[in-house]
Amino acid sequence: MHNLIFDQLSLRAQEQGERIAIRVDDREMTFAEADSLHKKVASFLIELGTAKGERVGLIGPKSEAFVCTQFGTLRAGACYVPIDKTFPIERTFQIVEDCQIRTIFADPANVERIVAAPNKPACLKHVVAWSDEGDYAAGDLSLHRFSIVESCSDSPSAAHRPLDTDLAYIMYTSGSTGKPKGVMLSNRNILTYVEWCMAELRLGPSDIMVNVAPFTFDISGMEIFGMAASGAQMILIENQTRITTVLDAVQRHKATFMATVPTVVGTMVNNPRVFGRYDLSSLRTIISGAAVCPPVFMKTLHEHLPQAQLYNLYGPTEATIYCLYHRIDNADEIEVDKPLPIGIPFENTEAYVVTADGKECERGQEGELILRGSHVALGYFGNEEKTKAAFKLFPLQPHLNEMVYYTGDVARQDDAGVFHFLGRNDDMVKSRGYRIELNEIDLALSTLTEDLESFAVIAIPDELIENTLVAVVVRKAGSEIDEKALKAACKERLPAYMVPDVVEFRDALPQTSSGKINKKALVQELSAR
Amino acid sequence: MNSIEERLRAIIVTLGDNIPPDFEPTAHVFKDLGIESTKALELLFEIEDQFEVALPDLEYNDCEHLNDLVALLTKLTA
Repeated sequence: MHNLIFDQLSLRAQEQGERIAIRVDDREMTFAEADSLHKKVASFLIELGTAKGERVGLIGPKSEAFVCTQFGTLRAGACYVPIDKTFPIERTFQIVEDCQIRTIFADPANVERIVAAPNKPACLKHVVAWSDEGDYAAGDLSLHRFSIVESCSDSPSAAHRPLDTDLAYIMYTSGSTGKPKGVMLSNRNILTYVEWCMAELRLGPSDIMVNVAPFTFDISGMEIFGMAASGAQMILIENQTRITTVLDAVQRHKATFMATVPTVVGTMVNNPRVFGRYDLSSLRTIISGAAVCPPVFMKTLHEHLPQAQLYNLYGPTEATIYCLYHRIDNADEIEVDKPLPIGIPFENTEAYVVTADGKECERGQEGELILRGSHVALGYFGNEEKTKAAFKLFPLQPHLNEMVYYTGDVARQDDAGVFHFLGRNDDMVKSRGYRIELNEIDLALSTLTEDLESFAVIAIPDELIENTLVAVVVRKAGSEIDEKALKAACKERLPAYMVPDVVEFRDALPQTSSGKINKKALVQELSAR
Repeated sequence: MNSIEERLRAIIVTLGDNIPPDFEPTAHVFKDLGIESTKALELLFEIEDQFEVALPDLEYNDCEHLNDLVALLTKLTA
């Protein structure tokens, strides 16, 4: 029987129960406490009648209770679904409905939002508050206080124990049809990922990891799972982009490990006074991933923090957080005009560059990157069409009847076998590390029928945040909608990171010869500014 | 000499686009004024330079509004 990730948490509690597992603000939780609490969550969910494989929603700020609920849900054989606390309630309910969530754990603010909202999905029955504070009229929902959870047994029934191949969590990403897609990851996927972390990053009990990414961003799993597998301490940081908070935490806790996105690395190196003001000498590993990292960021970072091993990591959510890595052993030799490679596959992962008709590309030839192995997700929850489009038979050996993930990323492999990311073959863009389907923003704007005559949403490349989202709009005669109102309207339908950064009003939009909006011309024009 | 509030307002409006100089003192600096939260560093260095103070990290990171910053600077420069 495999030691699943929650078993590893329990093993760490046996080995080093009194060591700190999780720090958040001025609170701390030991491994023994985390082990006990996650088991109580499991008991609670089992007593509540949670079925194996059932989806359990989690919404709220980062906390030790949130982390223990993730592990407890897994131990109960269920699957957790993190939901962004900044999502409009409409989008939250879209996810609840999509994966048929019956029980949702939330912080007091979100409990209040959920119970007060009209049109709750019929599937939603239980709300568990991660606090005993607050006074809510739960209406049709059953409201459970966390003290009830804490009073449950810390010896949950083993009958609910999942298999390694069972669903562990669902991570929602932007969907081109305007509806987010739920990527299904298994317990096996987590173990495969953690095995690489342990082998390559050599995480251990003496490590202190700053958990920078939001829990709804899959890269946050690096520290959450890494803590359980290695016995390292995890410092939870709520706001990843308020970088002063991150730097202060690294300095104060003498963190040894930081995984983040290029935006944060870029902000650091663009403000070199950072390295004089904050003592970051404890960092031994810094990872940049989830987006293209300009090589100058890494080169400059190395100049300031030569003691740290730097990595550029690549991986879509559909391949469990990260699956290719480039260890930067010679940062001095980075050529700033050559993009950093995305490296080589993790163990248990294979990567291939293939042509449109499924043949393996020659070295140096561009093609679509496909991924094979135990990192590959189970598909999109309840979306057979999207699953079939992205998870297909391994084209190089179809007789194996094995599914591989078609990333939609254009790549090439160099003579040394190292992979290089070249771009996308569709409309998906990244901004601040988040995946964004521009069509989702289009759909949100298309609801403003009384104000907008026409519009185009485009992404303008930006070194720091990768892409700036720009809405170029033509108002209808008589409409007085301004930038603030338009952004507010988007905020009601989209997560904050998908709201256009810039709104530009025009009298007309450029058109192609066939009469369509000429987005290419807009991108060229705005990029040249 | 301008007041602490006026000097802070002058710094903050340079960090974003189209921030009205008379913005609400209770507006969240990063969420409501459209300033990228990555600019928290620039704001910190600018305040430290102009007021010639060292901002305590924890207290600075707790500041969300102009009013919070005014209170912190008032304490530090007293």
